Amino acid sequence: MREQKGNTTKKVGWFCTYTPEEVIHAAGFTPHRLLPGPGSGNGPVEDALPGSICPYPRKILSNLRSSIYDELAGIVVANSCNAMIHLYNVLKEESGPFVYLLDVPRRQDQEAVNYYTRELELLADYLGKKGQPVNAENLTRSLNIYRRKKLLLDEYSRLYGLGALNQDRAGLYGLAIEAANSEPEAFNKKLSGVLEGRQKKRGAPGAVQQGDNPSALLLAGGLPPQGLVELLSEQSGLLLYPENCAGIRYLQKPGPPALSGGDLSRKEILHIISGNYLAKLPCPRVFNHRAREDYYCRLLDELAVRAVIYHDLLFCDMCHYDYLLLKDLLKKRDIPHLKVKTELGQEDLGQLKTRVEAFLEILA
Amino acid sequence: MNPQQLIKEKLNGRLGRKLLSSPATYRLARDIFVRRNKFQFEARRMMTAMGLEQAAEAYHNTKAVAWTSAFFPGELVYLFDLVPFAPEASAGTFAALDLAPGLLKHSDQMGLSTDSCSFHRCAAAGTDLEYFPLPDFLMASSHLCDGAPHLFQYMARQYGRPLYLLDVPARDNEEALDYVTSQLAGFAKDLERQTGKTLTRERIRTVFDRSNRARLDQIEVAKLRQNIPSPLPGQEGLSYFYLTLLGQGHPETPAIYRTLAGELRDIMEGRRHDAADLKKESYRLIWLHLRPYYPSAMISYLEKELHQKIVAEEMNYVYWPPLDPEKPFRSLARKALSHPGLGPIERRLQIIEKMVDDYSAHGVMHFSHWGCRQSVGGTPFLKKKLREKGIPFLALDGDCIDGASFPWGQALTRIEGFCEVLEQLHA
Repeated sequence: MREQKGNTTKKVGWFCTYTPEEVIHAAGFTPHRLLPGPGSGNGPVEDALPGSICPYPRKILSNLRSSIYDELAGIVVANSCNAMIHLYNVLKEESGPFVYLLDVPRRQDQEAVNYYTRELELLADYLGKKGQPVNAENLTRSLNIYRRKKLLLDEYSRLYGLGALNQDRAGLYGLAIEAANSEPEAFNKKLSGVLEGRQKKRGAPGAVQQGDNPSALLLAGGLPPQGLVELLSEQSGLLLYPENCAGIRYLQKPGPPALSGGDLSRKEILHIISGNYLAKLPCPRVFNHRAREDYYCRLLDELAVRAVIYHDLLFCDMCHYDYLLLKDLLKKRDIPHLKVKTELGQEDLGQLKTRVEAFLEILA
Repeated sequence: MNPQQLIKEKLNGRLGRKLLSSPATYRLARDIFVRRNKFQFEARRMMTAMGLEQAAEAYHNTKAVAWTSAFFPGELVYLFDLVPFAPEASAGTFAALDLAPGLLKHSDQMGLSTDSCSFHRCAAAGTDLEYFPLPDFLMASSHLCDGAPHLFQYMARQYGRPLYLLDVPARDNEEALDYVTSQLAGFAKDLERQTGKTLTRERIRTVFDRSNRARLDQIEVAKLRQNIPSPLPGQEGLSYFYLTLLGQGHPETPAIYRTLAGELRDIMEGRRHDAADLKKESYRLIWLHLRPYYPSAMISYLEKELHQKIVAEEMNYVYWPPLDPEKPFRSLARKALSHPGLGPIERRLQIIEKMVDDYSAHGVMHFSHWGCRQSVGGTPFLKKKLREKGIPFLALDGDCIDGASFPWGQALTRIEGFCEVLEQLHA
């Protein structure tokens, strides 16, 4: 039985996009990505996390202390970086909801898939005790829901790329956030409705037809403050592609295969999930700089990228080094870029606005 | 002008890079500086000579050179008779030679964030400005920091040389052991192909025997330092971290630790004229993380003026079991996974508490190197937990490489305040 409170399934918070939402869902919880949100996370946390580590976990801790995220039954912290391990250390001490550390490999080879499969078994065992058993049947059901979600997200992203949607302010970023925070069946229903509605209006005045390829603005680097995404969407006049884990790297996670009940054992299903997640578009953390370079090249060339905004998230080593790679690729292609630095807060935006506007003016 | 100042000026000038890239510089330094200068400890003299010879060999380019990051299992380098070179350690040398400010500025111009670790910023700039010997291979490990593997990926791109990145999980179980073992076995297989050398059982036994002997002698040194008073000041003790970085599996490492152990026994038994001076101590401290590598009076002030002696360093702690030549890669994997800084912080805390007990320490001092997320990120947790156990803890904010980011006046006030706390506690 899914654990219910009123009409709401209890949520399990997660951070890193290598965290398998399907496994959390199979345990009867709604996976919910914990993000700082505009204007939040400003409470003091220096007693637990020093000021010289990434603002993302610091803001999350502040929000958790202020009980901003309600209905949380637990939190799965992925070992994605030093800062996240420190967040785990702190949450374990002071969190009301349960806290679990998931060890995510940095490699993508078969040994890494095998190791991650075992990690997922441990996660499934743990969550199974907190919610409902994560068995083959529940996993199959969840995988099929997530497969449907993936197909819908792909269709939405395709149409977005054609400029065929009435984009809201947050665009793909907003879609990814909603997808990562919503109950998946309700999200599927909603997105399906949006796409069907668009289908009916096909050919309406102003709609862009297939074959058009509008110029793109790539927002690369670390997790951005929502205000930056909105600023770029509103002011650039270009299609915004957020190349980060709250953007296209979430949306383009490989979809799970179609499964029918009784096909595979729990371990076999977890092995598939493990392989799927490690095969996703490499993030800067992954030990595969060639794949990362190829991925950037593909993005720059296929999306007709006109310019790049690089968000160098404060104290994020992955961002700092990924910039060195991207900068060289942009130079070779003569694509202009602007590097901006934030602490994920609204307070950064005033100064940023001036710089971004000046940059966009030059592009125009 | 004193000779040291003269050398610094020359190195900062136009000839600096050329001088630093010449094997003759290191051999000359070894012959003049090491052989003629007096060292308080013979072991230190041996280690300095070894380091200079390693640098000379790396620049000489007759043997293949492997750039390695801290905590990458160094024995793998010696198994293939490669010359190790540690860009992170070179950052320390740059700081000592006053070259770091220029390199840090250059790393900024390269686009590398000033929030990054200054060891890595210096190493990145050193790579870009071609200060280092040409690498044949690059090897880095994911433990303990996020930055090193990415720095090495940047370096590998610059040189187009094979890169071996070891992913060490946060979990310490059989699956993690299998995962690390298979990676190391894969690296060795590739190194056999690349170097044309076959890894023999005899070679494994030789290198592992050196590593195991060094480990035992290092443990002996640690035990001797547990005596009250301790025979070795931290000013000296901290420098032996070099052997952890570049000496594990090196033929001279066991002899260096053995010599040091002998010297410590001589001090304890009063067989040296400086024994009384070296044994002076009021309070005994455990030192966490590293130290400033630019000229700084901090540690000598702490030890010589305040007589707060560093009796043990976290970085010199022997945390790994002996290596088994019959299971070479599993052994090295076990060593990598045993590091107390990996994963949840309880492991680090347990080792610190054990060190406090073993060394009868009065307090713990943490040099909080700006840019090190792994060590600095844990300081509030350590402070809270150690204080719960009645162990005084002081975190000193600073930077190991960038002297401009170390507020010495503030540190001094805090050190003196800490000293007063110890005096009140032990009055």
